[in-house]
This record gives sequence, C-alpha cells and structure tokens, in this order.
Amino acid sequence: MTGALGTGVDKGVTILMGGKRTLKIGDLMGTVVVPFLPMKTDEDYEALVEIGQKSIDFFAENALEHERTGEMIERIGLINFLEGIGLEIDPSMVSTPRTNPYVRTDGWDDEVAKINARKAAA
Amino acid sequence: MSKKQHDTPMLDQLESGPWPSFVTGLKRLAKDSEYMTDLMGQLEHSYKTRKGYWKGGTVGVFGYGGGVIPRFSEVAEMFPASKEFHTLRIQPPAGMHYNTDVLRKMCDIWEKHGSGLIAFHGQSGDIMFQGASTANVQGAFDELNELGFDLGAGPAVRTSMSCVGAARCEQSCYDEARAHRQVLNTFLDDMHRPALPYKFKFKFSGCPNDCMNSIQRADMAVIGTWRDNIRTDEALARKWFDKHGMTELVNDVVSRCPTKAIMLKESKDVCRGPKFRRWRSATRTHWKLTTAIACVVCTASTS
Repeated sequence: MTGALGTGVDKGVTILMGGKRTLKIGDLMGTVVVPFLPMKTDEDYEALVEIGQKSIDFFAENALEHERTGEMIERIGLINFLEGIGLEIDPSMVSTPRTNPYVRTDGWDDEVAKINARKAAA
Repeated sequence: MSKKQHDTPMLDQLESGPWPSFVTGLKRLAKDSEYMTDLMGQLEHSYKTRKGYWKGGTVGVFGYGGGVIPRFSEVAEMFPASKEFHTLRIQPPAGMHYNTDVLRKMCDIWEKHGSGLIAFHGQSGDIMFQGASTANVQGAFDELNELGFDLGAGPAVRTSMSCVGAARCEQSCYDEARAHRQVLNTFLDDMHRPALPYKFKFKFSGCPNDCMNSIQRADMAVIGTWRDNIRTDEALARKWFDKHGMTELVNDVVSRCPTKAIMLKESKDVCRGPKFRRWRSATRTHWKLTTAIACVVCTASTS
C-alpha cells in the first residue's frame, strides 16, 4: 500500500551478522546484534564503520581458514562473539528459552541490579 | 573476420520458448568475434559431455591481490580462440545509479579489450566484465579506472550492494549510499590486499523489505528500520482500497504483517468524532470522512 503505509519518523538501522549461503553447513540467516542504531549524524555513520571494523578485526583473529563469520559464530557461540566485538547482549537474542526448570540463584540479586540499571539508563 | 560458427544444437534449443535467452546475445557477439564463436563451441561441448573445462590460475592487475576471476580453458586445442576467458569484477556505484553515457563507454571499452559480454550485476554486486585474455586485463582495467570505477571482490572483503533507497524510495530509513561508501571505502585495503581467513560481505538495505537480501547474503547486514509508530495516509489508503478491494486487503496486507500491526475493524466500531458524516440512501448507508483519522479504516459499508 505505497504511501498509504509508511515508515515512522524515528528512523535508523538494525545490524545483523552471520548470513551465508549453502557451502559446508548450509544457509544461515543473519542474527540481530544491534536492534537499533539511529542514523542521522556523522557520528552515527562513523559508529557503523566502527562496528564493521571491530567485526573484521575479530574475524581476522578468530576465524579458521575458509570459515565464514556465521560458521565462526556457531562454533564459538554468539555470546563470545558479541563480547569480542564489544556489543551488548540483550535478552531478546535468546532464540529458545531453557527447558530445564532448575536454575542457579547465586548472583541473582547482582544480575537483577544490573538489568534494572540498564533499563533505567535506556 | 569471423570464422565459421560451430554447430550448437543444444544451445539453439535454449532459444526456443517464450522467454529471451542469453544464447541470442552470445550469437550476436559471435557473428563478428572468433573469441565468442569458440566460447559457444566450448559451451556446447560442455553441454554434450556434461563436464566443465575451465580451470583457475592467478591473473590480476598491478598492485591488487584480487578482483579478476581467471579462467583458462582445458580444451584449448579444440577451441583455440577462447583459451583464456577471465572476468573483471568491477564495483558498481552505490544504489546502482548509471547514466547512458557511462554505460556506452563501458560497452566500448569492453568491446575493445574483451569479448563484449557484460553482466549487470553478479550476486555480490559487481559488474562482471566477462571474457578477456591475460594480456588484455591490465589495459581494460586502466581504462575503466579512468572512468572512475575500481576493481572489487578480492578473496577477502567483497563488493557490497545498497538499494536505490534514499534517492528514489519513500520507504528508505537512512542514507544507504552514504553508509555503503563510507563503510566500504574504509576497508578498501582489505579488499585489494586480502589478508582475511575468508570472504566478508556487507550489504545495505534501506528498509525491512530488504531488497538487497542482506539478511541472507551478508556477514554484516545493515537494514533500515524505525522504532516509533507506523505512519498512515488515509486518502491514499482509500484509493488503494477502491482499486484492490477487501480480499486483497485481508489476505495480502493485514495477514502478512509479521508483527500484526494492522487490525481490521468495521467503521461503526472505530472511535470517531464530529468529523464523520453519515447519511442513508435507498440502497445503503453512506459514510463520508471529512478529515483524516489516525488509523486505516475498513470502508466496507454497514447496512
């Protein structure tokens, strides 16, 4: 419905990483690593280049020969990848919740404080 | 000038049917070119034996570690004119904007140095200039460089693509061409002097329609989005509805929204103020909207 439905006003980008085509482990779709980055000022575009630079540096150091970024993420785990690039890990990145009902509760209060602090800051 | 064409019954068969065939283009070039004549011969031979006869090698231009796909023929005794058929991969402009002047110059350059066969664009985004001998690669590149184009796609960082986006499309959420060029130009060194374990692809789409298919094709996909409410235009919505009707509205628009952002309501259930006027005629109730309202309203008449 061209024109009848249109974008919002607070526009920006979502960054996904790890897409690839069929060789070796099959097709992969990119996973969201940055849900939203505004793209209005020069600094915003530079931030985008920064993320690209960190990804390429990490890829150069940590990927095996002939291994795509997506394959590397599957091998080392998304958490290690995000920490390596310096991006925040968000609960929405969990693809399936755990099925084991048992959970460790030491450190629980610290984690709750951390998430509340993040929500307050956002 | 041109030699006798090879017999190509299998290629000819591809020209039948309702759709245009690449074979017609090859034949047009082959009329005046021994290079293309032998290429068609080798292609027909491959179709018959079901084997490929191209092997790789190392071909490049001065100073660069990639960007040229080498193809040496293993059946050169049978098809001597096309024994080397290398491809130059050239980075396209961001958003793939061309004018006819540039396109004509590209065609001239390629007919002079190569086979005349150009593919717009490869899957990664490069313009593929297909068919040059090793000796001609440098000359072709120099002329294309003068036009303002650079080689792309080495073995490491690959050429990127960005959609037309901000230049023409109302759905664009950021300046894709700027992001494309700013990011890629920073990594030109990694493209031309490759030092990465494998390939790395960037792709830039202006909105979640993702015309560049970046989510599936890129190691780093940048997709435009917005985080506040969707915007609507009531007049255009009614125009669309008059043309497309209820079935399409429900099955192609409302049900396809991945986040179920659109709900269908009867007009009597939508909150309204004095901006609506209602009157009855002999056959049905009419609703007239005098000012725009904030949601897309199903205009099915209620009797």
